[in-house]
Amino acid sequence: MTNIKLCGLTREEDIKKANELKPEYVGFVFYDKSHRNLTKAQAKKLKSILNPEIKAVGVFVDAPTSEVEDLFQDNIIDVAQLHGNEDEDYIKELMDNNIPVIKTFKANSPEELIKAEKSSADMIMFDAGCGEGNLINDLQILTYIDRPFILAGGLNQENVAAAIEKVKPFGVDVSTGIETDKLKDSNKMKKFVEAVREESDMAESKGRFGVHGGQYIPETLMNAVIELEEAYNHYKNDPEFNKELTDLLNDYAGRPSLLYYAKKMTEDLGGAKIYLKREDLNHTGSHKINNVLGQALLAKKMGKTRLIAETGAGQHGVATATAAALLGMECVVFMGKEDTERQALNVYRMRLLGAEVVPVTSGTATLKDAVSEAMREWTTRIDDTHYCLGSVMGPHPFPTIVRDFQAVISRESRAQILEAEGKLPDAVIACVGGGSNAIGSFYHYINDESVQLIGCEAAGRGIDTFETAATVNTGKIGIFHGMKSYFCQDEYGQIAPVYSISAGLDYPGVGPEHAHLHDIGRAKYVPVTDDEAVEAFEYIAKTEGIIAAIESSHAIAYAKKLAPTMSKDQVIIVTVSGRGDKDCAAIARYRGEDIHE
Amino acid sequence: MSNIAKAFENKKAFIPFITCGDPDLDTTKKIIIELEKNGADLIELGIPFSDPTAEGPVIQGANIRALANGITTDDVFAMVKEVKPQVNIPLVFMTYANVVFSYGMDRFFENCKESGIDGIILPDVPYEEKAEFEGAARDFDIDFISMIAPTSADRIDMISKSAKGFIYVVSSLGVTGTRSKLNGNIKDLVDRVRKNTDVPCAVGFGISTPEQAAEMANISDGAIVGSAIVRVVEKYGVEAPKHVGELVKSMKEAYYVS
Repeated sequence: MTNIKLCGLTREEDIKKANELKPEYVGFVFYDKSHRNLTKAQAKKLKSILNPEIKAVGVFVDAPTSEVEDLFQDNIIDVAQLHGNEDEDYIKELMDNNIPVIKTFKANSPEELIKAEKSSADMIMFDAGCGEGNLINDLQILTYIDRPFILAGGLNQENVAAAIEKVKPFGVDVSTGIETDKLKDSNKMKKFVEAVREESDMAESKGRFGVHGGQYIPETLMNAVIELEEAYNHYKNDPEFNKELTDLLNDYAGRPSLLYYAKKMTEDLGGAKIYLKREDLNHTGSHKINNVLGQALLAKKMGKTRLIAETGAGQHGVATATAAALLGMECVVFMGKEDTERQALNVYRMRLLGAEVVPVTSGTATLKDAVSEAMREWTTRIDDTHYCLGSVMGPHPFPTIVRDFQAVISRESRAQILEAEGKLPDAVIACVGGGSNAIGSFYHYINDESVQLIGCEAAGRGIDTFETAATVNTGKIGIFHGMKSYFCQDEYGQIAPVYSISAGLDYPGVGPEHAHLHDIGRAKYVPVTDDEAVEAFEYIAKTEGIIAAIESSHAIAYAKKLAPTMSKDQVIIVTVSGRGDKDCAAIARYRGEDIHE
Repeated sequence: MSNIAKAFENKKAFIPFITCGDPDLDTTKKIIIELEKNGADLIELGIPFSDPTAEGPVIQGANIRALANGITTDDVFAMVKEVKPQVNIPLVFMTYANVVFSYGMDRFFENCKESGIDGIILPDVPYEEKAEFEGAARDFDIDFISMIAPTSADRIDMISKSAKGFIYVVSSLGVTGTRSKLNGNIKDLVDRVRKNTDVPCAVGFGISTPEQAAEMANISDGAIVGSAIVRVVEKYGVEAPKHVGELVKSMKEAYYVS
């Protein structure tokens, strides 16, 4: 929101109008060369009728500091605005007396802009001249200013909206622009305030991670995601909600999950110490339950009675069906027809849990089409239905909500590794499809620059083939499924069919926060092929006695490569996002063996 | 007055939708000409997208058929450029954000202008995200068409105040496709838009019969018919222009009866 300062008010009627319009600030001029000059007595009278929510700014031009301090002490002004050649010492003296200071600069030379940026004043203001009502010649130059500022000079009801749009100031200051014959014009005051407020009302794109994220969804769904965001913002700080969720996670899902020191694997690889974060030990067998319990509880609080979800491998579908059964909600899961055939056992599980499974035949009949179909279903039925999205993707607020619910992984692992090793890990590795277990594994280490964050993408048959799902490595920026992020697509923006042995990583996009972490170089995303993942699947079973999901095996495969290159006093945490029982038949097939499930 | 505004001038507009390249671009051209001949006042041209999340099965099918034919955004621009000299009514594109974004916003809208397109409808770009598209569209005099849904509620004021061209009023929840019964509160939506702007409103989603079209046009400024027409195209393929023309004629005639 843009703040408004109506400056140079001189009459009681001006104050009454201001009280009605509620700008954030009004200005009283204490400069005897100005036709708007006030005596202390006049200002005192005006301040006494000013709505106390509106701050009074005293405007001075090289006045003695004692005059400013006197007006401040008598509560006639709340803020001092300095329009002359007041130097840093002057500003500091006022600030030492706890007087908030706005220092005005002319936006006419680079030197002046640098001075402004460095000023120790609480707030800076840019003006074309000194109260002459001229508009700053080149507003463009102000877009380079790296601190909040107030824009002044020559603004009026006609040009203020465009100026705000261009330079996005903290506030706007107007005086001449709301006058007729050198007196404030109540009509112009009203028009000016309306113009600013209307510009501020322009809702802005939300949920951005750098350039990624946003809310690219049909208008029909906008109020639903706004309602979800509001509910989430309310409940995330609600102690009762958090207690209920923690109880569910601990008593029902079996958290905290183990951080297991993989001794044999460490010794075998001969490098860094490897710890496994065992999300596979959660109830329902994967990290998906963390998010689902959170969202289902939230949906229930919002009065929703029905959950819909998409699923690829079936893990998220099973988790959602489980939460729905537990909380007494209806559940419909959309699953690509091809996936229902590849994961028949999970389809049976979901039905056993009371969910309806809808095989999706549109498009490529895989995960992306299941997401599309769940979105279509949501536009059809919003009132009683919550779309329980399974990954850190889709429109805002989903990437944030899912991230927050999955962040429990790194919240625990951080405490666990500090306990076990007395230090942070050197690297955290997780597999990335949409990216929910990865973001959950990374989140509480993002500010620890010493911790390398590594996401393992499904390269399928290799990133130099078309049969891949390595989005960050092979995709380009685009807009799909409600978000801006990286997507596998052709030159015309048609979403590409993707391939991976892992149905859970078989998605042409990646969560927007991952896209951003990639852009800023905070996390790196490496491709892992089917062959490498299958080999890791078998390796960890034989070495550690853990049958890890084929998705998680992508992370294990990369850990196998990385650990030997590191020293023995270094530590890696690998997230085992899920258990691999569901994959046994497919891996057997991959090895040329046909087994009956 | 913009070309789009002229389509609504002193009349209720009839707005058919077709997917370009279904079954092929030659037929699309012929359909466009038939549409105008039989009373269309403005035509919505769909640029095919692989994953049209706002569409029901009928228009999804048309997108898949067109893409299977290898139709690209460039092919669609070329087709429009060729047919436009024979068409006097405004043409607007309907597609998805990624088609425009991946093409390059400026390049996309510049090509729109060159080929004679007057507006753009992007169902996955709501008010909050429109700035990045609308800015580029405006530079080339292309109207960014806003949509209003039965769930829009208080958002209607904000959306309609800055609307350009016409406002696409989504008749009902869900995706495109024919419905036997239309939502009852469409008139309320239109009335609320009216309080904020004079930009015309056209109602779409689910209109399949001449009676429905007339009814919707009656309470607004026009009706948009998509799936019902695309179904005819699907059924008759290259023979579709004649049959589409007949359907449109019957719909436009119903306007004058009611």
